[in-house]
Amino acid sequence: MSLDIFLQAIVSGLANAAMYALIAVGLTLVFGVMRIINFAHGEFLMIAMYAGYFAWSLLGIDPIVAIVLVTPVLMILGTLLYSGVMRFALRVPEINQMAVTLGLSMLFQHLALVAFTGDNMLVTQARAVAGVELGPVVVQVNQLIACGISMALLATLYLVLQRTDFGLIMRAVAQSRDGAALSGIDVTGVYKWAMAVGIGTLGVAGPLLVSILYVNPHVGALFTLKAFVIVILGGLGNFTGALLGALIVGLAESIAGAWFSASVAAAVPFVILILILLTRPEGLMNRSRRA
Amino acid sequence: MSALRLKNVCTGYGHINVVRNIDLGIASGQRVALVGSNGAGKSTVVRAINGLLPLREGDLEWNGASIGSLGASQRTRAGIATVPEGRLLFPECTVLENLLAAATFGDAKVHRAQTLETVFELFPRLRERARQTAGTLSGGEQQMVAIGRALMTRPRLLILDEPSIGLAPKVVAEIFDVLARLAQSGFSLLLVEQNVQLSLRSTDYAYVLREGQIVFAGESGELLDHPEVRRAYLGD
Ligand SMILES: Nc1ncnc2c1ncn2[C@@H]1O[C@H](COP(=O)(O)OP(=O)(O)O)[C@@H](O)[C@H]1O
Ligand SMILES: [Mg+2]
Repeated sequence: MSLDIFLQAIVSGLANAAMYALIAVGLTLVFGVMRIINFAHGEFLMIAMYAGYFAWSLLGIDPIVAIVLVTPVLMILGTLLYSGVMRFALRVPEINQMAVTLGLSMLFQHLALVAFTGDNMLVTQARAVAGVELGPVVVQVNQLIACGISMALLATLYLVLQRTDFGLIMRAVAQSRDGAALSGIDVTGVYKWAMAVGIGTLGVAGPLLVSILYVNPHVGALFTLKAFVIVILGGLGNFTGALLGALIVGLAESIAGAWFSASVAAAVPFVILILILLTRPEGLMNRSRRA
Repeated sequence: MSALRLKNVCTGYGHINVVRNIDLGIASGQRVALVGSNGAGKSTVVRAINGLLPLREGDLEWNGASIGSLGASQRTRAGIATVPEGRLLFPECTVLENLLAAATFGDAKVHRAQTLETVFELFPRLRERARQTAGTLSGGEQQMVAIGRALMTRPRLLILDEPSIGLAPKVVAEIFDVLARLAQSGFSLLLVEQNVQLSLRSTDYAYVLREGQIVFAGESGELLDHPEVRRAYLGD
């Protein structure tokens, strides 16, 4: 493998990692606060991608602008998911919770198949084929945009979680639900907000992603699995861990793709998953959590 | 006039009612002890009061209004703060964050800086440790954070579930010194303690719990001399 190809792999790996991180932090945030892994997470990404696609194809709205419209919709869907499903899921054993969110994932895929057919759809603007040369490597303009917006949002989220009362309240509930309630924190309200933010981040990711990657009813499932690998790597519920996990998965995939082939690259996240679950199930940034 | 009144309270876990027919009152400014051996149901009574455990029978009155159907956070906001068994701190947050997190609503938020200053005056150690992660503190320091956090909610009644457990005598003395100062400044206290001597000496009135029921109630000083209480709890 020549140096140029290697550098190219690093750069596209980093660009992918930024998107992966954006998708994974929502999953880890919801888990951190509610202790439920939402296996329908990717289906909300799929919905956001369709929303971005139709905003462009029917209304001529640029995906970047569509973010502003799609995000509030996804936030509302997040609170509906809480009120309609998660609220009840909190009271049942973990295995039932898993089955419920998996069932939801299948349901959404089938509904999408009925509503949008199984066809692949993609936003194809002029800039979709444009590239920027960074020395020996070329980056797609859309990837650069997605990467930039994603990093800006991740930085904002990090600051909100670390520096505001809103973030402090979320972290408090994540670390001790009863301790938070005894501190006068409305735990149910925090659950709702965690879902709104966790699903809302997909409202940003969806429109960006649909100008890079085809959307079809099954696109979400793959992203749920990748996000799952990432949050396991980083330690479930750990925000900065998810960023690290995204970096590892993004880079490993693209380097494997350059070295071997695209099909090997596709298997890489799952090899990582199996290795990590067998050797360090608490994640790379392990911390004992929750009394 | 009683600030808090438990009327015929009954609750428990699963199919079992752990505490039954609890009648208990705490007047405004009064210091009350709840004593009983391990497993008697003291912490269960505490959870029935602070709302972590729903009532199965009976009711709870707070300044004349029924609060039996309110959730835990609402009871805290109404002025009932708990230093719970096991402390339930936010272990990855700093000491300062633990304290601030308990003052994110209404009046508590408005007076946050002022209450924080009061807490730091009561426990100077917490000011020194403000930027340290709570999970890395010693047991005594963690108990101080738990008390400080309860105070941040600006309560009128402070419930403490075994504040001295596992702590060195010197630290226990320091904490009880603070509790005495708090009582002087008008807080009502409900003190749950394994250490019956200590708890009867630092309160005005006491209830004795056995197998989920109140079997004695009276002035703390009198209970200290009560032959049966002495025999059961003070090793006479
Ligand atoms: N979370 C729980 N689930 C089931 N049983 C419990 C739980 N907590 C306490 N108990 C039972 O309730 C009884 C009273 O416990 P507790 O109120 O903690 O007593 P104390 O605080 O006086 O030591 C004990 O028999 C205990 O085993
Ligand atoms: Mg107890």
